[in-house]
Amino acid sequence: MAIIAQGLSLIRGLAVLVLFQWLGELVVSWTGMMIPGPLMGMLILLTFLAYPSGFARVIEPVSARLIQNLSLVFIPACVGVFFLGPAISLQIPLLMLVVVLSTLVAIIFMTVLIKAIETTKNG
Amino acid sequence: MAELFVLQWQQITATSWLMVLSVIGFCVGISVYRRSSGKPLLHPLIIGTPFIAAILTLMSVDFDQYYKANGLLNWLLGPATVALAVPLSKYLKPISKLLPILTITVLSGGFVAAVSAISLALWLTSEPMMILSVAAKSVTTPIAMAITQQLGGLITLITPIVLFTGITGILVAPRVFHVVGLRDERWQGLILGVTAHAIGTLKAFEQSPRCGAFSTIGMGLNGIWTSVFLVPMIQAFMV
Repeated sequence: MAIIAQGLSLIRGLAVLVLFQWLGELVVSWTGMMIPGPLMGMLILLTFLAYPSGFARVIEPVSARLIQNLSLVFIPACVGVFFLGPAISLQIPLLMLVVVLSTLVAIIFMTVLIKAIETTKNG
Repeated sequence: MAELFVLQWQQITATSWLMVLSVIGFCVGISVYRRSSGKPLLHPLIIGTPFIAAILTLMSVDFDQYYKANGLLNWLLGPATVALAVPLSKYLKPISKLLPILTITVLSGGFVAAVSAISLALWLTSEPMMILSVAAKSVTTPIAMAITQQLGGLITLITPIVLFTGITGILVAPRVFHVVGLRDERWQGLILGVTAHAIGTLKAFEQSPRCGAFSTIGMGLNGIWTSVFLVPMIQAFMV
């Protein structure tokens, strides 16, 4: 019985998340904003969570589980990389180079920026 | 509105037994990852996906059929994105005093991460498709997939790209911190979150809860910020 109760509470939490996602999609389609609907849903939920209510307790268990097992959700899309066809597959080493270099650039940029802010503050 | 429900319903009902294959691949990936005590290059996706691809090839199932059969998993991406608000709200409240510095660094850092990827892709590859598929690389996967879909890039490329970005980030970042002399773990966490998203955040939590909290904020704010500037920016350039 405990398992059923737990399952029901997870489903209830999931329903709330889906509700916010739809709300987000609605807002995006009404206003014509160029951001993804689920992200708008996340922002709406974030503003709701800023005010203390019993609301957080309903979605916390299901959110924790979804985030813990997020990799499972990415699997279908990720498998596709093995079925891309030669035209794109040949570009993959280049893309990896792009990723390594741009990640390095971003990390160096942020580290130097924060270091500079730190020194001006302390000195 | 009705269209939205119909599309999602079709996605869920197309789910079939091939989804079991994804779950098995995931379990294989997780068990290898745990046994290696969390080596980044043995990430569950790196182990799990070639395994699944091999089985699909052996059984001569084509990818489109497999992808459709995983409708439920793909559908869960939406609620999972919304769920990111929960950890974000938990950590946003205690740090509201630092918000000005956080805003400056996340806005500029997220911008540099995306623009450097786009310009390098422009320079090294000729295909516009590559640029669209690499642009969202430092954003956490659920948001990156949504952005890439809007841009018209390849969803199947962005997932491994994001993963590879995260792994590169956690391998490179400690060395950069050391060379530049950045010792404050709060800022180390923030940088890991902005540039290496969830993989960086996981690493940051290994260091300390405080480092992890800042990483969560960096990842969340960068996800929001990138989806705000990237789509309009690229659409303005690509016409």
